[in-house]
Amino acid sequence: MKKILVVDDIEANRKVLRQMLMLLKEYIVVEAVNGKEAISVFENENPDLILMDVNMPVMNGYESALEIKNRTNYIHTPIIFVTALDTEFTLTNALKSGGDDFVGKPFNVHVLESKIKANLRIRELNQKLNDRNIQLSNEQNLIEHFFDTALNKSYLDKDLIKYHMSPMSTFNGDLLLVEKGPHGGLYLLMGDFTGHGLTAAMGTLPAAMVFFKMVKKGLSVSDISRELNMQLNLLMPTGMFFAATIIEFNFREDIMTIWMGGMPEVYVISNNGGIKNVINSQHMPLGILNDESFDDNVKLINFKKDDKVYFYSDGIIEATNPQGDMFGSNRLKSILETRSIDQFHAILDELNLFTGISSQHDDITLVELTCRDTPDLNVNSALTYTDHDLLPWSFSISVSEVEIRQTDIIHEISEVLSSLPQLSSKKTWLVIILTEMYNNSLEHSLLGLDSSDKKDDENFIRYYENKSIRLKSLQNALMTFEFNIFSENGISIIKMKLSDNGVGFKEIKYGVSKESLYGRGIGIISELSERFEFNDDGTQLTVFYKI
Amino acid sequence: MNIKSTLSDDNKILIIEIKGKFDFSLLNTFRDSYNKYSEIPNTAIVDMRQTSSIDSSALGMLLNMQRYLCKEDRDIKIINCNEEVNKVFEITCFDKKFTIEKI
Repeated sequence: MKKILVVDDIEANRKVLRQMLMLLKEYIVVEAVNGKEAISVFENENPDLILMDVNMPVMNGYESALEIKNRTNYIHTPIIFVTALDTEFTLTNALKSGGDDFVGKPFNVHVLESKIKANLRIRELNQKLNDRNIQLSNEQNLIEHFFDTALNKSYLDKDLIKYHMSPMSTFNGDLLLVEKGPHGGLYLLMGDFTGHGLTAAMGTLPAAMVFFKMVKKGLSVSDISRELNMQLNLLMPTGMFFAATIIEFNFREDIMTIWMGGMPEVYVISNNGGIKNVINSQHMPLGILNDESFDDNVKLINFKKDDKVYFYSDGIIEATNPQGDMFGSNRLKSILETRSIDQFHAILDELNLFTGISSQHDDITLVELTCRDTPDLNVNSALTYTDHDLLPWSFSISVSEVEIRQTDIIHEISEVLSSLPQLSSKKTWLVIILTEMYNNSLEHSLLGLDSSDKKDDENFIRYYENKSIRLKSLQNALMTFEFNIFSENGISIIKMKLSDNGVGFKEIKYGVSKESLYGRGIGIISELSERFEFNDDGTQLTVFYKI
Repeated sequence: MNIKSTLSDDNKILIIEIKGKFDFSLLNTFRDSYNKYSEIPNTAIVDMRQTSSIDSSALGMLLNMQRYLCKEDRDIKIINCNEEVNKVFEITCFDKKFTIEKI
């Protein structure tokens, strides 16, 4: 049942209306005797519609309507004026004061009923719209939370990185991420998704996830660009793409590695002023090409300490003034050419002055990065190694020339070895030692190559060519690896024995000539292991490695 | 592609990145990565951020590279070496002939 407030100072009028409404059986009626009382009944009873008389003592209908409309902050409450004064003046005032409709006195019950229904429909539509808006804004808050969490872990040092990001709506299709890598370098990703608003911002989530994940692993700019392209190509609909600049700053070598696709130029400003480099995009934006056609080539640029690098999105150069002219890249460049000013703020000031009152048409981003290393914020977590009692494992494997030619034997063996928890952190060391043992056995004992053949460049290459040739014709070869894990004076040792059926390794003059092209393999084994020994005319090498 | 080389536009810096195991299987690709350019760069950098391990043949390959590039006074840097790779350079005294930078 809808509730209708009837406002009239004359009891007889209220009675007529009340009875008429009661007959329709759809309404509850509440009453007020003047405009002032109408306000308090409105507040207490929250009616769905008001039938308002015009001339009343204490407060007339116009004033009352005005006041009620002012107090309505959420749902539209229709006010229908009921008046005998159907002059133009009355009607205009009725609508001006916030009234929504009027019926003339004496009234026709059908007209009144239709007008009530029509106005209640408007109230219902308004109610639906409000509910929808509340739902939308809840959803928007939730999405904002997602973006904040995903994008805010960015490493933005305020001394070294100045940035201005001005999305044209709540959500930004421009993205700026800065993070330190495990090698101490600084990675920066700045980009601009097609369009603006939520649709453009959607892409920033996967882009940020890929970026942070790869930076954490310390991967190269080429690899990051390729992965971003592949992921965005998969995710985004055709026609949507991500113009981006990806940079890694190496502060030890003072080199920046840069991949740019579809972005406006990047400026490098010398530490004593003046434009030093202008770097232009060399690629298409990310997310367009498939992996095969994608080009991950990067540019290398030298910089000096305290040089400044400027990045911006096209929102700046395409910003327009009230006359419709664009800010343009020349205006930007001439500020950057000016020495001894705070160029970052000069650009923003000039941009504000230029655009004046005209509205923003795209997301705007401007970044200034000063090339200087900062203390590492990432604390390298040292591998914690819990000691377990080692089981006395032993196992062996024999391989013939078939496996030698076809398989990465050392890789497979080391995978097996490193599956033991105590050996997993030693995997790389074991790979290095096993590789040298294996190379030694294969090259010298089985293939009969003489390592002094490697003594100069040409022979070095010929040596490995010979290796490939002889490997192809190798026959009846047998290599046996034996592994034993045991304890010796409380120290865990892995004993690795490699025997072969070849001619044996003859020259045991390892470690003598560290600068030459040969004889280093045994030197490496010697340095990394506890001890080692050759037996059986050099066809058997045993290495003891402390776990 | 286990080896990727990039030369700067001014031909001054060459960066060679090696992925995975650095051993004799990369012999020719590695050689191509520095001798395919008409000009010899001032600075050559071998980036080992993704190099899991190296063996003695790789050391020989690095020496070959040094002989090719360093006919004049040029610098070869080997950067982003993991602990194990770095140890191999130490053991073999390569840290005396090259500028080696750990992670």
